[in-house]
Amino acid sequence: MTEAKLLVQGIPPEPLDRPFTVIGHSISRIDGVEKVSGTAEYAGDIQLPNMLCAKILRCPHAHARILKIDTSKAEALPGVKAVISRNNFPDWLTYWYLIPQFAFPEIVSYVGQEVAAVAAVDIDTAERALKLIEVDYQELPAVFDPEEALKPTSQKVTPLDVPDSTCPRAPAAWPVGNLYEGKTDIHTRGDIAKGFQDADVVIEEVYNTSYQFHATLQTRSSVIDWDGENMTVHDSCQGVWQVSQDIAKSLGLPMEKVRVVVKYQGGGFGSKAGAQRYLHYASRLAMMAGRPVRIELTRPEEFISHPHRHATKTYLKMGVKRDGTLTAMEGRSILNLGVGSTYGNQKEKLIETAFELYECPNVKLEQVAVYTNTPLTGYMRSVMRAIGDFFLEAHMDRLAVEIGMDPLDLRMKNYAVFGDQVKKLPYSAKNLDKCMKISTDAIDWKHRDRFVEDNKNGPIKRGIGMASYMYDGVGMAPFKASADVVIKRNGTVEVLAGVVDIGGGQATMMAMLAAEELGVNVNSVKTVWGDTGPTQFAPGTHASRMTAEMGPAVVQAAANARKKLFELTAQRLSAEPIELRSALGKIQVSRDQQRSMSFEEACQLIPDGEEIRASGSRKPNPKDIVFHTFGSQACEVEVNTDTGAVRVLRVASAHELGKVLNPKLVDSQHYGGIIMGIGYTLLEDPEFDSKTGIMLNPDLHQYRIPTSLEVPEILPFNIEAPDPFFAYSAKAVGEAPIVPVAPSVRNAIYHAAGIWINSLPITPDAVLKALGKSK
Amino acid sequence: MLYEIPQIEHVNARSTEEAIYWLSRYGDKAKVIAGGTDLLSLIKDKINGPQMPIPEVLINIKTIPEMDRIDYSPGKGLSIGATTTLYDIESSNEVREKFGMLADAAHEVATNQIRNMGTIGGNLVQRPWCWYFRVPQFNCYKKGGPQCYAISGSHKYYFSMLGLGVCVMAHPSDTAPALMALGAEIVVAGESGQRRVPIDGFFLGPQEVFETVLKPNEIITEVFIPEQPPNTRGSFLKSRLRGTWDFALSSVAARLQITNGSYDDAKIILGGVAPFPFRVPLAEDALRGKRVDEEVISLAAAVAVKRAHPLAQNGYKVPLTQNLVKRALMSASGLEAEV
Amino acid sequence: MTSIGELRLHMEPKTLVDENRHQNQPRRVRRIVLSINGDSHSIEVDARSTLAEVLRENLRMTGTKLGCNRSECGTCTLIMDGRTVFSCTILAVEAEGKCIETIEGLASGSDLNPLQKAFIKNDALQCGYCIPAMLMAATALLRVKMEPTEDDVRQGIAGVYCRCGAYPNIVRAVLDVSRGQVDC
Repeated sequence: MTEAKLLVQGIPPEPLDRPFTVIGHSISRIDGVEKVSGTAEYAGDIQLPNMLCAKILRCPHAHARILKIDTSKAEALPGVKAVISRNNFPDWLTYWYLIPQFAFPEIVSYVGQEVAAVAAVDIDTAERALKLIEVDYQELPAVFDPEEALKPTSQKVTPLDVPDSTCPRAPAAWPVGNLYEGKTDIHTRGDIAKGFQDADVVIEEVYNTSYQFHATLQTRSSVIDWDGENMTVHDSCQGVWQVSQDIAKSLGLPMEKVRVVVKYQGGGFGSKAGAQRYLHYASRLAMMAGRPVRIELTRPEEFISHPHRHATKTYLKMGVKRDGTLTAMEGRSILNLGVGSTYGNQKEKLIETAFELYECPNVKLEQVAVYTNTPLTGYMRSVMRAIGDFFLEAHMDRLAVEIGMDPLDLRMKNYAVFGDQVKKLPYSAKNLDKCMKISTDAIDWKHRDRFVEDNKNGPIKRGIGMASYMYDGVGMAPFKASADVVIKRNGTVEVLAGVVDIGGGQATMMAMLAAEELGVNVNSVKTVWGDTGPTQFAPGTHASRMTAEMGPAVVQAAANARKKLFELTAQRLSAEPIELRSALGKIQVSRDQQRSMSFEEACQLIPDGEEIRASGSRKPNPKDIVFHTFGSQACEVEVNTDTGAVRVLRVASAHELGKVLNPKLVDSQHYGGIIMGIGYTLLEDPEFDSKTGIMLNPDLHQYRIPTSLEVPEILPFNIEAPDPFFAYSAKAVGEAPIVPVAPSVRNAIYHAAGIWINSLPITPDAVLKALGKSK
Repeated sequence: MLYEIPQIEHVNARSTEEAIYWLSRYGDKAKVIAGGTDLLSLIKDKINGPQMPIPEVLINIKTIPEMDRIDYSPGKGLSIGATTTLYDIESSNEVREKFGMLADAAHEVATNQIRNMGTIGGNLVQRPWCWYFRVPQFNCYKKGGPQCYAISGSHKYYFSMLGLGVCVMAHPSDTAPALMALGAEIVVAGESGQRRVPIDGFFLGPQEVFETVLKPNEIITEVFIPEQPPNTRGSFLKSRLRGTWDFALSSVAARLQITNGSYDDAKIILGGVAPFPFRVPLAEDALRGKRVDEEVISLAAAVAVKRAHPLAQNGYKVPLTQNLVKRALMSASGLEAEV
Repeated sequence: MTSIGELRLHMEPKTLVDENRHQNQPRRVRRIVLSINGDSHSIEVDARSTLAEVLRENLRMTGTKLGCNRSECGTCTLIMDGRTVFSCTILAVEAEGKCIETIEGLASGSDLNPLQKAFIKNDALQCGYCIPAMLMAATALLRVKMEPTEDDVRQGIAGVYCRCGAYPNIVRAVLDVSRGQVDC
């Protein structure tokens, strides 16, 4: 029997290779009824008595010094209950995932930055008050282009991020010449010069990727209730504990005084991980006014104020031998941080895929993060991986074509065995080869020349492409991950998890894990989530960490609770606790299955007025093993060479995730990631005016997200393989499927129409230009 | 996202006369509201300028009974009330059978919901979808400001490729090119009475702040399309970035009269590439009197974009439009297109 | 090119609209009756309030969501007189006399209707925020197209965005219902 190594303390969970009764079944999500009946309550649905409305005044300039703010007229307006600005809070630090940022700095650094905020009895009064606030700005030159910002002569951006040595993710120093911390991140190994000498073919390219906005359908909304001593934040975030931590620190309150509740929220995709700036202002206003405050961002505000995926430019040069052996890789990736970013966690992440996914002895890659006078950037569904994979996998196909090799063979030829190619560290599990085979077989890769004849005639060209990827999402656990399981006398079970179900079905997954471990029907397990009140500290639902980090914690908590229940039951069944097994709602003595009792009967043995409560938590991953998930996608596209339109027809997505806990929930993540990836690749084209830095399409019409009409046929494949470090081996799937969409589509476009396009998004103008049909 | 519309006054007009009365009474403070899909978004975004005050009084014309109708009189033509929804137009059997390209054009508009709300009148008088117009920070020419910001700024999608003047917006309407190809008349009512404006004279050029000849206290009451000769064939095609909710990167309405395998007459209107629905007479001439033939069509399509003078970022619209014209002509000519 | 039409309107304001009797005057606030899911609601509303705002704020029927408030995303979709509309862009005062159907009217009591069941069964939802709108769009579609093709369904829901990307499952759920394949 395979022993699990769940990095938990206490009772060893049940072995991995027993038959499962809950896990692996397509169980409908436990919150489906609320969501289809309109009763699911989102933050914007909440009304409290005496509630005020908050509005934020935003800066119209890309870079300016605030000389003076006069809020007196706004304060005097009847109905205005609180006004905040740098007049009353000049040195206030807010926190975003523990990164300190100035709330009201003297210098405002992008169009839309917050300058003041008001709370008033109604929205009209709040808006009138904003108009009465007089701000004297001294405009400063602004810099929007990261390469421009890197020049010594560039205007210096004043970032919102504040250096703070006590915060692990804050920058260590103010930027010098707009470069994050005044230095770049470099990964080197081997001898680059020799590597290029050894190469038969050397290819150099430049790759550009655009910003991507989360465009969650619910805009950021919160209702903050302050009773003079305790604060309750009804929020739309992805991490209740992270927001509690951030808000408490920002307002100088103990964390236990800031309860954060998220029953439902309308999409996160990484953007709502910590407490966002608007929430700090609204919370402060609630404290000042002594009344509940409601804030909902408008759609344009949502676009300009929320941290989105970074835009990048990468110079990449790779050398390869005729037999396909990679010899050298050299590159420089420039990353536009905007005025601030959750960047502390992202060092080397943009280039990591390039230096790790394939075996290459000689590497020099540099990651350059630059502040500019553009909006905040931050986490988003595989934030760096989706970019790093684009330029690596695009380049791999280019190399394959240059040496006349099948792109799939080139990838297999350079398959990396070790997670760290210098230290030769192993992976906890890696079956990328299987993923590549399954995804390419599914679209008949072997016969990919089948389009050649048809493509000779007419404007429609078909082609297929592929890309592989790696993703983290496997228990980074820089934070604690804890869960409780409670068994009640009436036979019901509660999982208490301080996380948010953001739509991935996290609550369902945790109920299933507890049900499996306790041997009960999933219907008798309730998950309590999205509330710091009854739960222990847990990670935010982002970075695909729920299954990997909370899974083991829930399993351990359930195992500990089961042990306590077995102790009560053993005597009745004339057995030792260790002899008992629980499955399908029945507790049996393993050597004599006639001796049994139902789970409910066993629960009756819990003393009156008591319950069984047990905890679990997961430790961080060991350092001598590399943890990643892997996968590969192959797709079929159609390029219309008359109109420049690209349609993705089919995507086969193979992802290695250890164990599928709930097939239909996992498939939904393939769909979601791929569809969002199609937006990133073909449609989503944020535009900023180059002179003023004003966003020109802060709307859901000209910022085009995919609709039902852009969705291809999607074939999800889930590759299972034991990984003893996780609950039943189950690892992440939430983010990974977006990663290879852009490169595989881009590679398929080449296969179809013979054009290499190196910038995202691939819009019709780019296609027609590449075809030589327009300037 | 609460009450983005400031406090307004609202009245349901019960007749055209009453609507005009209120319009005259309140002057530029008032606007008529029909589908509201464009107007209310502009109000919410506080789009305003010297020539574009934010309305304070809305006059609902959906309550005027005779404005919501489709009447077809054989031999005369089709009369569509101004508040008839785009969905009613695309789903009308008469429109589909007799004026198919209008049904196709109406169907291409935005989304199902917008077609259920939006009206034919509103589709013709909608304001520009240039993003400098649609964000409040730019006091652009179309709001009464001094200049166009798009020429030296970003202009990849909803912009003109014809370099005709001050403003480089592309007219967004899908139905307008089709109506122009069909020779429609726009019936306009104002204080001094009613006038019938041939659609060729309805739209103004980019030197004007407003896109149509409609005066501030006038409303469209009806769109009239004359009966088409029996040998007429038409086609409307639209190129767009996304399958739904997108204006045209380029669109073409082509109306051909074919007798014995030759073109008697042709009308070709381009949408999405000029500040108004843009007729290309030289391309029409290239067809007139010629045999129905792919080579003739290809030549006409090339002529159609001959005057193109694209901006820095929208040169792609030239081949795109040329191809679209060709496909529309092929389709209207009953020839098999390659696609 | 412009020609003055033959028909002259005789503008006689005094007889046309008697302002003093203010039978019909521009108003800022109006009492209206809305028919929602078969129930009549008499309510005083601001003229500027949209139907979505009145449902959510005044009547506390919060099942209808707002995503952009600008006729873009479709999150506020409901059915009015049998057709899907964006309730963020309809003034409530103009919805008087219309038959309004919202997500709250789909289930009978705690019994979900087949479409709702099919959504759950097919995992046709993730964060759930667009789901009321998706269900209303699908409801309207199935009334006019009882046996839709896959393309019909895609077209029918195209005006509602789902950023989570549940589209494939939503399409399957609607097709399941049209084929009578819901057993929950």
